[in-house]
Amino acid sequence: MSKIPPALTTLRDLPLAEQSPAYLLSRLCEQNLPPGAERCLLIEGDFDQIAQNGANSTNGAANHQLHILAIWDRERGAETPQDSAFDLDQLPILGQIVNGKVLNLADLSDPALTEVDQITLTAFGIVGGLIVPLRHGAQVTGTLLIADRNISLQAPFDPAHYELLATLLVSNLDTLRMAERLAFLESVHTGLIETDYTAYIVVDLDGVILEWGSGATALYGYPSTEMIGRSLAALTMGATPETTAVQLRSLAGLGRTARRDMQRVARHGRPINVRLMQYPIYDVEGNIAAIGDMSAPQPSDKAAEETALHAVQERDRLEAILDSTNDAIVMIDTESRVVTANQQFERFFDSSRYSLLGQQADDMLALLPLTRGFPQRVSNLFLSLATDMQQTVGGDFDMEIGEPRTLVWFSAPVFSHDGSVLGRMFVFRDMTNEREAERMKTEFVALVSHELRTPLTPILGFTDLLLEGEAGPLDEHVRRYISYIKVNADRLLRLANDTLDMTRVEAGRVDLRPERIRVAKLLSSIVTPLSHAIGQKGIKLDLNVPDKTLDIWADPGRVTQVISKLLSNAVRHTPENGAIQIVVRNLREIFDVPAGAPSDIRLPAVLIAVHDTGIGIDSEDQPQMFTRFFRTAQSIEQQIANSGLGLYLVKSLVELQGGRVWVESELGQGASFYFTIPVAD
Amino acid sequence: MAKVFVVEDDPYIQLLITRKLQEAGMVVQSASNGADAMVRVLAEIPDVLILDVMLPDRSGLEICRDVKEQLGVRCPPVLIVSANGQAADVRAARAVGADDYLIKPFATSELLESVERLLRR
Repeated sequence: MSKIPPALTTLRDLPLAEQSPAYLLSRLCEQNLPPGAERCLLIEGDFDQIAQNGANSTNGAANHQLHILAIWDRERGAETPQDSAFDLDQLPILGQIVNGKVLNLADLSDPALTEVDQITLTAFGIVGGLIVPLRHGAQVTGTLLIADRNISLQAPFDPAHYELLATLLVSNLDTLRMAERLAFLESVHTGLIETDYTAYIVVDLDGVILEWGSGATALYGYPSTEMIGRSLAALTMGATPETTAVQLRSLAGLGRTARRDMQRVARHGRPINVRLMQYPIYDVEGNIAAIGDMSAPQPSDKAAEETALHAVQERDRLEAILDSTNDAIVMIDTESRVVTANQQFERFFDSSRYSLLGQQADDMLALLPLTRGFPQRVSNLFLSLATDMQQTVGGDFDMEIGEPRTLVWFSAPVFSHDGSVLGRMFVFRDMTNEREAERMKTEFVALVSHELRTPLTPILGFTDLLLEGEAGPLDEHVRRYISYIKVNADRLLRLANDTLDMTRVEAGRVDLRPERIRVAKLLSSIVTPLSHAIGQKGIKLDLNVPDKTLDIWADPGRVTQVISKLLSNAVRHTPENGAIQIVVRNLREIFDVPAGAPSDIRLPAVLIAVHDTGIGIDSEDQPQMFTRFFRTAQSIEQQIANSGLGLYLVKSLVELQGGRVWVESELGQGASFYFTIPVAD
Repeated sequence: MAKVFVVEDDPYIQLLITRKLQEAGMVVQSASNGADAMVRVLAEIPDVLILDVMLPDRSGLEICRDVKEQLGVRCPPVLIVSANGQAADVRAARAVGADDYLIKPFATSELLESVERLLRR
């Protein structure tokens, strides 16, 4: 150590970034120039450039230029003023550990030099120089190549001088490495101090706290300001600073890391079970200077027991809930294993759930006595991976297990709280009774409305005969009263017909026979028979069909029904001297569609609008106009005969034929009903 | 004088049809069940046969089919009157050879028009 010149001490002050080996070396050489040399030149650039520079400076070489060409270090690999300048392929001698002796390059015949070395050195005009071993203690850990082309100098290379230089370099490299390592440890240390998951404490050998990390604050409840400078004894029940110091010193004496589970005392005397690690911290000289103390809460056995018990109870509760529903529920996890099956599932599919749990979905399907009717779609869903198929789907099917059943099913992915897929759930509901009740209701309503029509036949028929005078001339009063009977019998008939249609719509049993219909012809066949009666009411009726050749694709009876209902609604709501206009337009493209239309209109279509100058419809009522049994406040007030079924049927019949229906109106400004029907190709 | 035979179990409707057609100068005979109707229609073939569908003993459509089969070309035009008004019902009537179909309740004028049309055949 005594040989270290003052240069070494100044290196500690250098910023770390500047402490590259090459820089260190150049600094050292500057301060330890060989006899006769004026300056040390640090070569920048690659080898070709070095050769070029050397050639240029051959003549005016009054100066002794010391070229530091390469440093090879076992730990760091090649280090040169510029890393790319040399590599071991070009100069294998650098990679050799040269017996701890200085090699003089003036003698290229030295057996230590390989042929490759000789060629390289010759090629670059290196005719003098030294390869100096870098020693680390007794070990040679690298080589230093110092070369010069200026052969005119006398004895420029004093091996002893460069050996000293090499020693200095090694020592400085060690310092550099230590500085780098310190910087690394510093960051590790800072990380530990800052961590919230582990309590990190550093104490000196007397147990006085030097560092108190934020994890320690979190675990023990004390802020660092309160703890730094206090004895670690504060964390141990019954300990004193003295006993703590004795314990830590004995640990330091062993020089080993100690791990154990123990109870510590946090702030306010709260006991904590911790898992503790204490380990020695060494100073630069290798002496134990402090003790690191890392601790984390111990996973308590009791807490684990409680957690397990809680999970079991939670499972029991969940099972009770699942078993209390009328639905069969089964769930598969992301690996297609059955993880849940409830009691109803056992009952529906006649299989013990305990034989199904844990089974792969395909094995489960094989175990279920699935007789006729179990849909392939559900089987496929069971077999597809929950992570692949994340939609909610459903449907219904009839199957027979013991007795015929109608099952409604749906299947949805199950997500965990973090959004990852846990599996897929299947729910089956026995709808046999509900479907049967629905069917009976439909049939009953159909029967009632059918049976209503039979007595209405003679009521209306004999009324006709009376009004025709079949029973002789009628007194004006009698005639009027009979006409009232007729009007109300007609109402009753309409109600029966609408009710019948409604049950058919709802049961999906509307019989549609679409055909090509010429709109102009259809409209006039509907309007002409009514125009006399409408005229008598003092209402002006206008039919506006600009394109007489327009054809639609629809069931003529049902379209007639729709138009008749809209027209009779318009007549009912339009006062004397009002007007009704039926307008037909062709909607070829999206720009033809009027603003108030629903967005899902199918094009091309024919638009039929019925405008009236009646009482209009409150904007609040408009969205509900087409719902079943809906009647506006005005129509109730004004006692306008209306079952509330007509527009519901209009909407159903139009939509069944691929059209859309909507209304535009302002109270007191009349109303416009629109519907579309697809154009015939 | 045109002869019309009406098979209808509802007495009021039977009377209504009879009155309306008599008023138009036709001779109307009637029956309230299928068995009675078959015997009398085959014994004395009318110019037009009006059949209700739901009769106490059998369906009017069956009677239509049987009469058409047994009388062949001598069979009179058949008018079905029924409260069933679905397209499928009308098709079923066509299938057994019915010539026209009226849905109850019908306007008496419609009835007369239909019968007159069938008589012109």
